[in-house]
Amino acid sequence: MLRSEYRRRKSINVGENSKTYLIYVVSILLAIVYLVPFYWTVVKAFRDSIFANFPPNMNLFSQTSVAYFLANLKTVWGFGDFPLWYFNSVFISICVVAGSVFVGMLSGYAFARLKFPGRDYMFYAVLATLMIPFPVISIASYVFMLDLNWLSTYQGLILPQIASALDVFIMRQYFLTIPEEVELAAKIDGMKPWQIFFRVSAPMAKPAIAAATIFSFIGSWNNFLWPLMEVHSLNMFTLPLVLNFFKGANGTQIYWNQMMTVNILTMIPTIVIFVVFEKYFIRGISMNYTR
Amino acid sequence: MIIENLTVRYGEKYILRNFDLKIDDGEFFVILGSSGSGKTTLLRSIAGLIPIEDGHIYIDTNDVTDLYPSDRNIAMVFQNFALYPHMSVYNNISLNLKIIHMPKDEIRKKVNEVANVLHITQHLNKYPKQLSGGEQQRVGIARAMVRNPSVFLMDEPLSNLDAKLRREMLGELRSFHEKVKKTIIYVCHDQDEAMALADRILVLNQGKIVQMGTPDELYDHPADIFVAGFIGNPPMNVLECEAERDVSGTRINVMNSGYLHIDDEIPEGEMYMGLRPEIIGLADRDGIPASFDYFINSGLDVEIHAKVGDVSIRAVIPKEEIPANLRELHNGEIMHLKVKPGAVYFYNKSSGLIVKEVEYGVSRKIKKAD
Ligand SMILES: Nc1ncnc2c1ncn2[C@@H]1O[C@H](COP(=O)(O)OP(=O)(O)OP(=O)(O)O)[C@@H](O)[C@H]1O
Ligand SMILES: [Mg+2]
Repeated sequence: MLRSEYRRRKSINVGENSKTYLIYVVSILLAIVYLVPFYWTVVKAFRDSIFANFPPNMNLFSQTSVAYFLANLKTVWGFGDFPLWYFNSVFISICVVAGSVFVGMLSGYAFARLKFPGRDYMFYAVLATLMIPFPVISIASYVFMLDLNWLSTYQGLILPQIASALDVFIMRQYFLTIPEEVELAAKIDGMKPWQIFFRVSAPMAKPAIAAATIFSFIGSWNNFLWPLMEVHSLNMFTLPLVLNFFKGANGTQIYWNQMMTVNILTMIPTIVIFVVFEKYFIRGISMNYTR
Repeated sequence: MIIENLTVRYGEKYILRNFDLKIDDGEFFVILGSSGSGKTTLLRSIAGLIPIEDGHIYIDTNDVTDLYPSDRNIAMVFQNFALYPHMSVYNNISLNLKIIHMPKDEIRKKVNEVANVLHITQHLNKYPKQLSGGEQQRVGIARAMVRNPSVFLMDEPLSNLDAKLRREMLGELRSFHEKVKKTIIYVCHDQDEAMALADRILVLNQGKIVQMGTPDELYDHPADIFVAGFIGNPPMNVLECEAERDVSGTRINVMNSGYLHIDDEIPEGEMYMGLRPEIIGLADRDGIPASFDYFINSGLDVEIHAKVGDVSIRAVIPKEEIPANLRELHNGEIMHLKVKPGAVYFYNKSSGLIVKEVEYGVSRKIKKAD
């Protein structure tokens, strides 16, 4: 009997092990699928040739040189108003992140903590807007900006992106998991509601703020459709629009090495943001306050 | 502290209704009640943390009903500690003093003082999550103590601690109270805690006062079957019985298993009888037959569990009366129980209120001596 028990355990172990293997294999395959394009992006940026071959030349040391990369960098940086476009992207994203996270914090807190009539219905209404893809409302937004005479302006690019239902949702869910007692204690300690929000509740919601920051940054940084519609003058271009230029004059020839160099420049802020906030990010998207 | 006509509701549900209470200055007042009885609600309305429907609250003769929580001169300790996780222990304790703009060196002096009393001096620069549960709760208490309020409100501050720590903290709370002699309103659902700490206990059930009195009053004269079952450890035995008039006094038929004769006259009919485990003893052959279940040894006494019919009965037998062959008893074996002289309580079967409290056995002997 003991022996059969032992065998049963062993077979469970074998089952567990093969499951673990499977998970590893699939994870590694997935990681490779995601990483290959990045790898090629980097390799291509270090090459002189503008052409993309098929199958791609994946050898890190064939036809690559730092000098080529610097040359590509120089071409790209000197192309049109590239520094201005880069600045546009950074500036707009910072404003969008700051604005939408702040608005998300305030309204998320209101939806989680304050009591007012119709609160939950309003929240569901906000949530429902998550289901509507942006292209559906893009025309209406465009007409709105046109009426305000805000086409090709920073405010026209920034403001519509600030109302982020996702940020509101992330913040509300997180505030709900923070025990109410801490805020009551703050009341007894003499903080007014406004102070309680800024000095107690908001600092406790750092992980959610980090998650919202990352999401809204990526959303705004990668936004292509809205700037494409909104911006009619060259000096308001953002990087996703600029990438398009490297298709060459008539769009027949893509300058792959230069385009990949722009890609690398474009990725830097995203990576920085992620590294800075990564510490909180996982806790933030798991939306759970833990002491 | 006086509470007048307090009414609180959540939605349509009234938790407290026209609730009146007066608590003396310097009293250690414990509110005891089972889960959902409205203890936290009562405490929070005193603190001004929840809106109240009606009523007035006076602290030190001031009407504080409409004051902001921090202006009521109270301090509160919360069940789950409720420390500010992003502030050091020092800042947790000193936040209130900073808000009222007390000079820095004075704050430092005060914080060090309470930290000393509560043995958390070495933790002042740590963050709450670096502390154990007991240490966190001490910080919570320190945060309340540092302000020198006229009333302390404590909402089950020890319920998240393990048994040993809880015992320790009970002693510390009591000694803290002896030192400061401030009013403490303490909420808990554990009768041991209440008995250990209280000058006075209020038993709350469904938002209503069931009984209020000193621990001894509640233990010796439980006015209600709820209190009878709640106060005392192990709890009182509550048995069904029927009273019949007798030549001299009353004959009590206990679950058709035996009779008890008492000299007092009590109304006839079915009722509940309450017997403390301490007044149930072992008898040789007469007495009520019961089937032995198990026993728990505390070293000082044993608590024997036996069944009369399907009703479980607890008897606490002091060390000197423990039979030598107790360990040889088998589960299900027949033994005999008797009622020793002592207080027996009779409760109305439907209302649960006390009908009569009699001294069983004692008065009879005195009469004979006459
Ligand atoms: N915010 C709320 N909204 C609605 N009902 C509530 C709320 N808080 C408490 N209640 C209800 O009020 C009643 C009393 O709650 P209260 O928290 O005062 O009980 P308690 O005696 O403190 O219980 P416990 O020992 O579990 O802490 C309960 O029935 C509870 O369900
Ligand atoms: Mg409670």
